[in-house]
Order: sequence, then C-alpha cells, then structure tokens
Amino acid sequence: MFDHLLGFLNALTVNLSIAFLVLLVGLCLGFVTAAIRLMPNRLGAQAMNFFIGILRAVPSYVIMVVMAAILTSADALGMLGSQTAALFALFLALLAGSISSCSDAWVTFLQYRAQGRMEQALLIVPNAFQIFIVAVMSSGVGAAIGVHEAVHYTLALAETYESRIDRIILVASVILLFAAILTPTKYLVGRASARFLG
Amino acid sequence: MIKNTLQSILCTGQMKIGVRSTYKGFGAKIGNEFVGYEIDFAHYIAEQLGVKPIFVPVNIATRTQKLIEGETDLSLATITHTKEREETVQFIRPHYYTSPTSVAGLKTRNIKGLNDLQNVSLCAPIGFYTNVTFKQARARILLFDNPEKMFDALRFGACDLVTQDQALILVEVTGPMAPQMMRDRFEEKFTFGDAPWGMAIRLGDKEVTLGKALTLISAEAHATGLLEKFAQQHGVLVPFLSDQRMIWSNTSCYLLGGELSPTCLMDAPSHADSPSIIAPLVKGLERWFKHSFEINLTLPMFSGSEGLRLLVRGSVISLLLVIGVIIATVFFGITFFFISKSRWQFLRVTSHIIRLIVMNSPMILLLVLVYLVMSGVWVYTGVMALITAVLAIGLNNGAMAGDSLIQSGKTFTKGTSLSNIVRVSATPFRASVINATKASPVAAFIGTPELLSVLIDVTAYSGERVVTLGILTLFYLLVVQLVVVLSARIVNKLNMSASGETHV
Repeated sequence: MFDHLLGFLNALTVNLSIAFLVLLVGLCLGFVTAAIRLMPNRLGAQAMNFFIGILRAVPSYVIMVVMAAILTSADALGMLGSQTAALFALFLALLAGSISSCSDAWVTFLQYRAQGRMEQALLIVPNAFQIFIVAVMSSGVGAAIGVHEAVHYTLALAETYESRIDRIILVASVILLFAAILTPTKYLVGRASARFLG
Repeated sequence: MIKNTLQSILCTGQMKIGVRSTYKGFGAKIGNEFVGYEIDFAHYIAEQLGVKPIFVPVNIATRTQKLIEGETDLSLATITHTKEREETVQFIRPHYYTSPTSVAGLKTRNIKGLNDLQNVSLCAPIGFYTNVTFKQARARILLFDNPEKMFDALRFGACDLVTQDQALILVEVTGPMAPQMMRDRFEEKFTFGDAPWGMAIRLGDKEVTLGKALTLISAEAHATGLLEKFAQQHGVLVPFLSDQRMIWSNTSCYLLGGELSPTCLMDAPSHADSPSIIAPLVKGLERWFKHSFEINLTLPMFSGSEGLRLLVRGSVISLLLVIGVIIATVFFGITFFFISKSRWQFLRVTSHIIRLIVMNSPMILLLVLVYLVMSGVWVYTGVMALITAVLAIGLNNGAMAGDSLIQSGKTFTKGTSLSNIVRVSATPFRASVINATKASPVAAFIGTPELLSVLIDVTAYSGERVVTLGILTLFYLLVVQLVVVLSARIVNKLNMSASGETHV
C-alpha cells in the first residue's frame, strides 16, 4: 500500500514538472503574443488574435494524438525513445492551451498596467496559478499515449487487480486524493490572492 | 539509348537495394554493418549478378516509395506480398519467406484470440496489412513506424499487447534470441493469417530481364537450400524454407523457356478495403493533385468503402457526443445549482462534496471510473461507450458550470429567476460548455467510436497520416468554433432580453 502511494506520488511529480514547464514556457510565449496583440499595427494584432483563437479552440487531446503520431514517425527524431516522444507530445498539447490562457492573462495585465491599476493587473498571479492547476489536471491525458504520470500509474496498477470492485475503489481513491490535494490548495491560493490584492 | 534497370545495374556495377535497418534477424544495422537473413540474400543476389550491393535503409513508409522514385533498384525489406500492393510494385516469386501475424503481451493478461481484443490497447506498426482486422475486433490501436519504439512502448507499459510479423515478435519478444527480460514478462497470445514476403521491383521491370533474373535466382537459392542456411544463421524460423527447398528441388517446377510452373508458386492474399461509391471521384482528385502540384495525396478514408463508412459514422458519433456533453454539462450545472438551494442540509453537503471532487478530478480518471461502473452493469457496446463519455465529461464540466451558478446566485436575493443568474454567470458557464466540447475527443480513450478513434483506425491499416490527422484537427477546430459562436449568440440574446426588460 505504502509502496503504491510512493509510486503514485513519484508519478505525480511528472504531472507537476510538466505543468510547471508548460506554465513557464506559456508565460514567456504568452507575453510575446500579448504584446503583439496590443500593438498599434492592426494587421499583426489581428493575425495574432487569430492564431491565439486557433490555439484556444483545438482540443489538447487531439493535439497530443497528432503530435504523438508525428513524433513517432519523424526520421529526424529517430533518436527519441517512445517515452521522450510521448512526453514531448503531451508538453506541446498542454502548451497550446497554456499559451492562449497566458496570452489572455498578459493582455489583461498590460491593459490594467497602462491604466495605472496595478492591483487589478496583479490578478495575473492567481490566473497563472489557475493555468498551472489546469495543466496538472490535463496532463493526465498523457496516459493515453503511455506517459508515465500519475493517471498512467493508477491505470497500470488497476490492470493488475482481477476484481472490478477493487479497480473501482482504486480509481475512486485516486480521484479523492486529487481532490484532497487540489481543493485546499486552490482555496489557500484564493485566500492569499484576496488578501494580497486587498 | 535508354537502358532498363538490369542493364543499368550491370553497367554501373552497383545494385541499390532497399533493406530494413531495425528489423532484427532480417535487416539490422549494427555499427556500419548491415546484418540479417535478407542482407545475406541481398549479398547473394549481387554476387550472382556480379555487382556490388549498395544498401539503402528503408522503413515501412519508404520501402516502396524509394523503389518507385528510383532511389533503389530492388526492395528486400520484409514486404508482405498482397494483391493490393501489386498495383504499385512487382513482387518476385517464389517468395523468400512467409510469416503469420502474431500478437504478444503480458503473461498476466488473459487474451486468447481476436474476440478478446475489445478496448485493449495494442501497439501496431503503421500501415500493417492486418490492422483492419484489429480494428474490426475493436482494439485500441497505438501506431508506430519503428519496431524499436514499438517494443520500447510495450516494455514501458504504453500498451497491453503488441502485434507484428511472427518473425520479428520471436526475435524481439518471445523467442530464444529475445532479451531475457522480455521473455520473462511477455508471451505470444495467438497468431493468424500466414502471408508470403516478396522482393519488390518497379512495375516497369516486370516484363524485362531484372524480374526474370531475380525469379530464377530466388528459385535456385531455395533449391540449393541456401536460403534455409541464411535463415538458420540468423535464428529465423525455417519450416517454410524447408518446404520451399523440397518444392524447388523438383524439376517439374521449371518449364521450358525459363518460366516457373504456376502450381509451384504461392498466391498473394488480399486485405483490401473495397472501393467506396465515390472512389472514382477521389482517385481523380488524387491524380489531379499529383499532376498539378506534384503532391502525393491519398484519401483512404474516402476511397475505401470501410474507410468511408467509418468516417461518416465517426463524424456523426462525434457530433452526437458534442451535443450530448453540452446538454449533460447544462443539465448537471443546473442540477448542482438547484440542489445547493435544497432545504435538506444532507443533500446540499453531499452535492457540494461531489461537486468539489468531480471538479478536481483528472478527466481521464473520471472517465475510467464511470466506464468501470457502467461496463459492470450493462454490456459495453459503442452506444454504451458514448453514454459513458457523455456522463463523465458532462459531470466534470457540469460541476464547474454549477459552481459558477452557485457563486452568482449568492449575489442575488432569494427568489431571483434562474435566467437572471445564468445571465450573470454567462461567461464561466459558457466556458464550461466550450471546455466540455474540447474534452469530447477524450472519449476515444474508453473506445467511443468517434472521429478520433475512427481516423486513427483508418491510418492504422492505410498507412496514410498527414491528411487523416489534418482532417481530424480541422473537424474539431470547426466544431469548437461553432460552439463558441453559437454560445456567444445565446449569451448576447440573454443580455439583450435582460436589457430590454430593464428598459421597459
């Protein structure tokens, strides 16, 4: 039991790491895209708005499957193992959503900042945290292409159980565990943001 | 003067032979050396023609393409001879090998045949001719075009089963030459459909001397037991080769004029998808693309009857799924809101806990949980998979929609109408509906036969990927955009009617 919990937590670090990386890259690229969206050049701004609209609309699961297919076939990436290719496909899939969300958050930040309303502008902090949480939860789709993360660990463990009831209990327990970790975290960050922003 | 391929080979003293570089036992590159049964045979052919073999590494996707484009003169690269492939290349008979399709997996998994594959994840080579059979058995197929990556994926648990020619499964997974770690964990579950392998040359070389020369060299290599010897040296199974040695040692197989008796030759099996009703139109379009833009466009999902049937069915199911998850999201959202107003505290608390849990659950886990419950109560069919997905995705996003309604409801006095509350929480409520639409392809994970599953399956047996994945992305892009536009209109209407009321 303890070994399984340890294994699960170990696998969860993959979700956390990939979500953190997705947030980091998303914030950087999101800032660049937000700056272009707010440029006086209307053509550039419209083109970027269109691009962000596409990133926002494509389901991350579809991007992941498409990327996994491309990465397993590209001769240039022949040196990638299946695990690295799967991780990279998941990263790119989550990044699309992260860039669009971060870009929106940066646009709001830059607009409030220009108006001198720094308190509202700093709402970008809880927004970034929200993007991180969404990325952590969405990273579970990586199980479909074999990424060794928490959901994959859970499903692989469930496969070893003969009884359906045991499998249901295991999956339900992990769902509870996610809720037990995320609910208070979200609550605390919400409280901290509220206090910080007055 | 234009030379035929054999003349070119003899004049240049070189023969470019397409061989596998990652197929242990048959064609593998170790350091700078190619080794394997097919490599030995290629050396023998070159020796017989008195030329130097130049090995060109090819994979499943490139082995016939490079041949047609003239980058190779001969493809000796584990190609299964099928009737359909005869349209693009010429196969040399007698065949130099034969192998059934093998399915291997964890020893702990109880899989005995095709009937046990429903919803089981199966790692398969892209374009593998028997993938259509696995599709019909409703396996969840993960595609690879490199055997090393495919076996790597099996080892790391990305799939429950793996399929390939038995020859390779033996070398990589279950046979005495396979790594000990693989042999300890995996076993062959079943095999089916013995199919011959043939050397391939260009269609233009069919009637001229290269085809004839290779035919005679092949028959002679069988008759002398040379192929059997090459196979033994690389741990490749030999029963077929022993039979062929017996056949080709018999002089009755050789006819006057250097022809071989058809009774001694094996026929190629057919695994084709029959042409669809719009196949002539599609083929015309493919030709037009090739002629006008030099682009090799292939549309198997339109030209094959099974492909087209799957595509239409998958599109309809995807649209039903999207409509279903939107309705379920709205339903669960409103239900959570009303329960939060219930006079019974127990109901309110229970609903609140369920909402928190569901909101914070990864979508895939929730989907699997609902799948485990539903498949335990009812027989799991395509319709049941669709209902399961609608419930799980609707519940997850409905919990968020419900949360937005509840938060907005707190700002109103008691007795405020639901439409007013929905109007105020329109933005997060709409976001939940859009997220539900975006989450709908995840249904493929539990075997819902929607467009993503279907197109992956079409890719699996056709080998075509670029157009298929393009169609898939475009479809979901358009569906999500449609939901975005329609939901924005509804929200605008709500706001306009509200401002109208205020104005009055």
